[in-house]
Amino acid sequence: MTAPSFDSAGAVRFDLPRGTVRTAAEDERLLLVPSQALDGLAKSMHGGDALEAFGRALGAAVGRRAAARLTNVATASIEEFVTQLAGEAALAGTGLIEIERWGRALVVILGEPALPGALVAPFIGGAVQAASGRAVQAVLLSGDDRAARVLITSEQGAVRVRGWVASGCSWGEALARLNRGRQ
Amino acid sequence: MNTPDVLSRLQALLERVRARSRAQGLPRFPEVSSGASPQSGVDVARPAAPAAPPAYAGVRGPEPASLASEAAAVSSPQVPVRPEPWSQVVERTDGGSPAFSSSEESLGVSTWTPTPPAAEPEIVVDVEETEAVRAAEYGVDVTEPEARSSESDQRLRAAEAAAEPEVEVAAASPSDLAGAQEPAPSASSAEIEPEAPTRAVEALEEEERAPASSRRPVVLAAEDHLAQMAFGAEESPIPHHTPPPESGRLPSASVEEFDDATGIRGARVEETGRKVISHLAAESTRANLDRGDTIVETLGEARRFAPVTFLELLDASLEL
Repeated sequence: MTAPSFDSAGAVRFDLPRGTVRTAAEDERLLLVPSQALDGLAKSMHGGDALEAFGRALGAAVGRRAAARLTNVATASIEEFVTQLAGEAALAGTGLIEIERWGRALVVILGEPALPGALVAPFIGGAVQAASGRAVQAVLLSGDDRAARVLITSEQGAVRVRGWVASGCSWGEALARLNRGRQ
Repeated sequence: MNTPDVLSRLQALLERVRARSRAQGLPRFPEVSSGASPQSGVDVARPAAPAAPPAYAGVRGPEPASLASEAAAVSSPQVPVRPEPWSQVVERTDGGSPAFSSSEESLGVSTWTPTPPAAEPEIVVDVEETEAVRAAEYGVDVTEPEARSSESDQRLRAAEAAAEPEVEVAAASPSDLAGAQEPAPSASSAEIEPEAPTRAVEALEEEERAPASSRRPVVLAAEDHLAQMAFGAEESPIPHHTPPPESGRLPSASVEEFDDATGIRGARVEETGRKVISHLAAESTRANLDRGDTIVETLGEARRFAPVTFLELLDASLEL
């Protein structure tokens, strides 16, 4: 079985006479936005649902394009799914997506994130949700300029993990507790 | 009949006996010889070698070995011998000196005459012998332990009343004295009588100086001894009811009793006075179990979480 690959040919079209940028699959218009502008936006919005919504929208677009590249999402392997999702996120310029399995917990890592920290968790959640078709909650576990780690869990799981982390528990211990609660 | 009369009669009897013995050449206590045969006189029972009882150690009978030793032992305490022949002699007489030969022939009694001694023994009158003869004449078996003990007690009492001039007869009872048929006391008996109390006191003192083994404690000491025999030296009487054990946890055994690595311990016995306390040790039996590497048999492997698709992984994460 060959390793899955991402075909990025003709994925983005720059129409200079029209001054548009579009995707090749859905002919969806894209906008190249500087990341510092998004940091100012996140700081002015002081979190909240709008910022949450903005980030989830960014991720959903990426997730949808990744899913269009998959033949069957239900039967797509982890590597294939991740490959396609990562390609689309790269084309969007958001960063490089990787996944980790901590017991039964799914953790998505966004390397070289171009998004401010407040937008990473919603972006990843949106992408995974859009790509899988499952309603997911994303919890930012850790984040810096090099990588951001996001837990993909249910709404209840998200509440528990946020509470543990807020009480001073490390995200690793939180993941362990999450897994023990499952056992 | 009062005591002086009794004493006088006894004295008279003694004199008659001595006179008779002198006349016939008989030793006062004839020798016991295997070849001797009864020839004449009364059937005199040979005085057997007395087994000196400890209770009657004050007066002993004379040794039948020789008259010389008898004379030497007169002054020492001697146990009287069986007095039966003398009593028989006394009963046969009707008064006065008994004629042995005629009465014996008439009665058809076989007699025995011992061989005359080489020399006439010198008989010394002693109060001890006097008492022994008195006891013998009145049919008292001085070899009986009960009589000897009663006589010793009476002599003890007599010693306490040493100031009294009269000497009580040890074993003689008034009835026995009344049955005696004695002639009037002679003058010699009257002379002996004043010396009797002194001799009696001396005899009692000698009795008191008897060997330590024959001495008997007073009644109070005897009771203590009996109490000791019954209850022990320092023990209290065994109670009929023992108190119930205390409730609660019982003290456990000391660690030192379980030092033996083999598990087999011997019992130790300790003596505390008259009590014997034995410490019981348990003998345990343990099974020797070997390690087993193949005791457990496992079937299959534990199910690993190895999702194949991304959705499986996602679903597993959503289930947390």
